[in-house]
This record gives sequence, C-alpha cells and structure tokens, in this order.
Amino acid sequence: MTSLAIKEDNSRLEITLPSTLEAVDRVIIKTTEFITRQGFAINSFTYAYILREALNNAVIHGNRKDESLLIKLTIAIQDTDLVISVCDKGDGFDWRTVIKREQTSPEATSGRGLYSMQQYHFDLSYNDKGNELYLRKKLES
Amino acid sequence: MSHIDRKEGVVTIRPGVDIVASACPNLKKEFIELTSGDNKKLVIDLSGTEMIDSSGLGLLISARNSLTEAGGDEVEIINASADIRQLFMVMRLDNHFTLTE
Repeated sequence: MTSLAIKEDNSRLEITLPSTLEAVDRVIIKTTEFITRQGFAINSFTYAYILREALNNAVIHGNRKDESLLIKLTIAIQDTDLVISVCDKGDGFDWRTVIKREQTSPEATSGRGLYSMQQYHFDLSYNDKGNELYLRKKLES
Repeated sequence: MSHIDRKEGVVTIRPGVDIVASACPNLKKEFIELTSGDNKKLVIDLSGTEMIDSSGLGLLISARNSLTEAGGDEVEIINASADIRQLFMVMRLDNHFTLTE
C-alpha cells in the first residue's frame, strides 16, 4: 500500500496520493475529518461524494490508473468558502464542452461526475489544459 | 461478499458495503449473475451502505438495464439512507428505480 503524503495547517489540507481507487477511499476519510474539524455545519455526505467524483476522475481518466503518477489534492477554507483543487498528470480534456452537455441519459452507466458537481451547486472550473480541477462552495456557519 | 436471497422470482442483494469505484469490480460480478437469469425483480438492500458514487450509480443502472433486457420488470431499492435517496433525486434517477423507505 503506497502511503499518502499529508500536509495540514489550521485551514488548509494538502494530500498527494497514488493513482489508485483504494487511495481515494483513504483520502476521503482524511478529508472528511479535516472538514468536520473546521466547525461548519455541513452535510459530510455531499462533500465526501463530490471529493470522490473529483478524485475518481483524476485516477481513472486523468492518470489512467498509472500508480506511478501522483495526484495532488488541496482543500482550503477561504473566509466562508471551501476551495478544492485536484491536479493530475494527464493530458487534460476539453472541459468547457463537456460541462455544457445535456443531462446524461438515465440508461447511461457513466458520465455523471461533472454533472453531479453542478447538481450539488459547486462552482466548477479547470485550468486551460484540463488537468487541474477547481471547486468552490460556500460553507454554512 | 454480498448477502443474496432468492424467493419466487425475486432476488434480494445486500452488499453491506459502500458501492463506490473501488468496490465495483467485485460487485459487478455478483450483479451480472443476478440479472442474467430468470429473476423478474431485483431488490437492492442498502442496509450497511453509507455511500454510492457515480461508478456505483452506473453499476445499479447497468443492473436495471440487464434485468429489463432479460425480461425482468423492476429494480427496488430498500433501506437507503436519506442522503442516498437525496442523491437519486439530485441525479434525477428517482423515477427510474422504485425507492422504498
């Protein structure tokens, strides 16, 4: 099991993880603990769900499960906002086109990751290359 | 391994774990077996499941598609938490499964 590299101060958490789905499971536990410690009244399910989608995309589509490629996750509290970034080593994608797509068909078995982030009202963007995701959501105090 | 119960054309599966990307390969094998036979109805018991991600949603949709193609007529989800029921609504899938409290 490859270890996670974790840096944390009061309002910022940075985790570097290998590109495995098992690492995602472990990161979700760490990040949920961090967000809970911040003292905001949050629905931890929503944040755990969205973080899973962000990290799964980086592992599966970004780094294509190449365990030698690392993913960097940063979570920070900025005023009353939760700010998340996820950077993979992949080639990126045309995210502006993807997020404009219509809702995925109910019969489709994939293609719901970015759609779910929008449905849970996270502000979503990428860098130009499309390999670094930025998410922002206002926290309730 | 999931708990599976068969009775008169109705098969009930209780995975008992989170239905997320890391668990989907093993769960997929079980669901394929359950939806490729003569079962008319599939019941998915989510007792012990706290999280479903989009890979997990894809697995449940795939099971529903397979059951329908094999002549079955219903996938019922029971014992889902409030958060998971909300997820089905947010993702506009609540009309495509029978969600029973």
